[in-house]
Amino acid sequence: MKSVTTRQTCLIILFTAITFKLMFLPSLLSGATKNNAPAAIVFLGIIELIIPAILLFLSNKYPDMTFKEILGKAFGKSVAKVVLILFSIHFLLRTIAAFIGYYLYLYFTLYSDLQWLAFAVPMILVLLYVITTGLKNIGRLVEIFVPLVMIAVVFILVFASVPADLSNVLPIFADGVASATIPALDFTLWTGNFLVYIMIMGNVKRSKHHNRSVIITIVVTVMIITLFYLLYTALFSYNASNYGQSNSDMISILPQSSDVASIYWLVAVVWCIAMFLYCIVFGACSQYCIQEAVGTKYKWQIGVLICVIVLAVSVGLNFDISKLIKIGKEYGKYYDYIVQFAIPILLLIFSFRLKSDRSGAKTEEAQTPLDSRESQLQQNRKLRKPHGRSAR
Amino acid sequence: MINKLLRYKVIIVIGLLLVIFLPGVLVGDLDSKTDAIIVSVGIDKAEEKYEVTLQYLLPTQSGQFNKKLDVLSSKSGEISSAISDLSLKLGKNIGLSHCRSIVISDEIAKEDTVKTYDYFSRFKLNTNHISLIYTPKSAKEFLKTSTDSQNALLIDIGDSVDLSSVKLRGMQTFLNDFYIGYFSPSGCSHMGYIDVKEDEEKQESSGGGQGGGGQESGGGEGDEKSGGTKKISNEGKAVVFKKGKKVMVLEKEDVEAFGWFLKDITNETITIKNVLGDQYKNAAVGVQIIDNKAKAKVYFKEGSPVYDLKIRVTVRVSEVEQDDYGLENFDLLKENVNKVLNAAVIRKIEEDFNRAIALSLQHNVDIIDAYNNFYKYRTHQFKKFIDRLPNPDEYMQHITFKVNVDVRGGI
Repeated sequence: MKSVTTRQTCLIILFTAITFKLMFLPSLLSGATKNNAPAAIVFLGIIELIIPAILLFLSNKYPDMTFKEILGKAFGKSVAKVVLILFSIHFLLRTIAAFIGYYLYLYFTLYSDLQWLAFAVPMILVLLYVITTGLKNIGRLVEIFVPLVMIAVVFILVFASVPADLSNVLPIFADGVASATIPALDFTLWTGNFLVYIMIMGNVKRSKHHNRSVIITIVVTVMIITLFYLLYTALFSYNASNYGQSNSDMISILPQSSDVASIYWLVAVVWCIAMFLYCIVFGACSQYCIQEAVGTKYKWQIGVLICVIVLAVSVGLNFDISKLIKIGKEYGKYYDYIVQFAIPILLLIFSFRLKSDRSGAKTEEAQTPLDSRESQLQQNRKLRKPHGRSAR
Repeated sequence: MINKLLRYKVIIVIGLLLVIFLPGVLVGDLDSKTDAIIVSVGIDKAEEKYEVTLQYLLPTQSGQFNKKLDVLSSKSGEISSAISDLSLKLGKNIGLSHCRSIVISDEIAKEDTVKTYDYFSRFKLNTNHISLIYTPKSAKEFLKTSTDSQNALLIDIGDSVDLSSVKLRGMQTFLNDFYIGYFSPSGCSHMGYIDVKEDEEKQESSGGGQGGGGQESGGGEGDEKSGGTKKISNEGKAVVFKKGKKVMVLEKEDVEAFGWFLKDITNETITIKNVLGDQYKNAAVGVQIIDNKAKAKVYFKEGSPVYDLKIRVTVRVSEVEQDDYGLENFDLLKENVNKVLNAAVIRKIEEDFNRAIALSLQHNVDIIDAYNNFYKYRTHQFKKFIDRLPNPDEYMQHITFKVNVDVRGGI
């Protein structure tokens, strides 16, 4: 059953790509690249575009197939399950990071005496409830809240652009291109958000302009993020690495905000919603991947497992995101390179081989995992209701 | 059973949330009962210890602030422990979120001030709106005097700094700006200079009341805590820091001279004396700056750096004082900002420019941000130039400074 619409898909992509990147990362990149955060984020963005490019290509090639089915077709059922588990861990890590980030954001902006227990228990309960309700509800949730988040983003960009001095962005690449870009590769905890599309593949009611809408969304996303980083650096200049709560810090620089404060509070409150929604989307992605790997009948057990892990790791790290970032910088990045880049690229290569396999030019490698399932998949496709492009 | 319960899962989740949150909200103390609102912090140093003075007000349970400010001090080796002591003394949590200013004494300014500010920059503060104030004597005395003044006149010392000529001239004094300057290649930052002086008017009159005017505020009524005869005196001076240490004090005229390097200055008035020609007969003319655009063009000429400042000022005549008025002084068809006045304004700006450069060179401080300009727009050339210098810290001496002024008359 198709769960999300093209509009919901675009909103999910836009929301997930933006939300977490506007927290902590501007400050971290400014420190690591000696105030070259805009150049670093453009570099990360270009690399990150590999993911949606591949996923969109696969989604077009197999519009009615879920990610699991494509994986199964390419690598075989067992390998597909392993890959799905790898992806679920990837999403789980982001859920944990966002959960801790959410707590810290609340702590730094709204409730300085917030107790972790009072925060974590209700949030985990809500997280458990929402991630087990399925993709359709998450699509609706995103449709309701993302416009609100986007209004907050527009507020940040518009109001921060007034006092911003864009000359503070200069010089770009003062110490060479490498020193301004390569350190960004350590922060993979903030990349790979486009992988959320794997949950959507095969589950989307494709509109007439699905591809165009998704591509425009990705372009808009990259533009918003780049503009944000430009303004961030323009505002805080040499002191940029000192501002971890990037979005609320940018609003707080407005002279009138200390007295009126309304815009600051609006952004802070909306961003709390955004952070929790981000936890929900990635928690749901993790749930989806495990469910696809082990079966839908364990829905609640998987949900409980995810929530317990999120809570346990967050408490274990004492809600200190710096520990998670440090682990990510030293070890996690290698895992992310595999999940975010190596697997999608391999999948793409295998999908090409599958094409040649169909055209009759069979290779020995292509025959082994795919042929046995080819007839079954054909059968499955026939059983599916025709939809969207396939229907036409 | 579980399946039946699961049918009501939304209600169960909401119920659980209420059970968890409601008792805490109902039983917990109000912030207004537990917190003291800190308006200003003063920091002195004596015997290798920090003396932290808090200027605070206590909110009442009715939600209204007790308007009367007070001060309390504590000494300790670190700022954080001094603030903890103060919290104990007050019996309240120290709420720094509304802190408007941090006052430092000369003893603090002589050493690396960033060490002193570290606590505040790490604390969850709105650092963009904390004014930094330098006082040559004691920060404690400053806050006591300002408390008396504010209690008597309801003048906010933060407003006083904001409205000073230091602010008008754009010499930023917020904590964030101080840090930006500190971390910049030149390491140069500024802050406002405000003194505590004897109130001669107050001493003369026994009844007290209000004294001072303009940028000065009078002492409190018969208050004995600070002697009651002192007043806060903001004369528009500023202090320049290099790598966090005080380097020089700028007089009001110096601050005004450096103001021409900044992008936007409006509503500032300069007085041109002895203006002759057309409708002016040895007049003192007050000229208000409506708009000021300054743009520094940096380039290299024969291997040496040139800092070329282009200033475009739009002015209007705000006051004319001369012995012999004529109708021509009020003739709408007569151009107020004529060639004579134009030349006088240009001369004044050029004099200020030369004065600012001379001061910068004399103290070897880059108040005009020349390093940053070359670093931004001539990065590699400037890096090579700096590397060639026997003493890179003295780069200012090797830069050629030029100014080009364009004055326009406005309505």
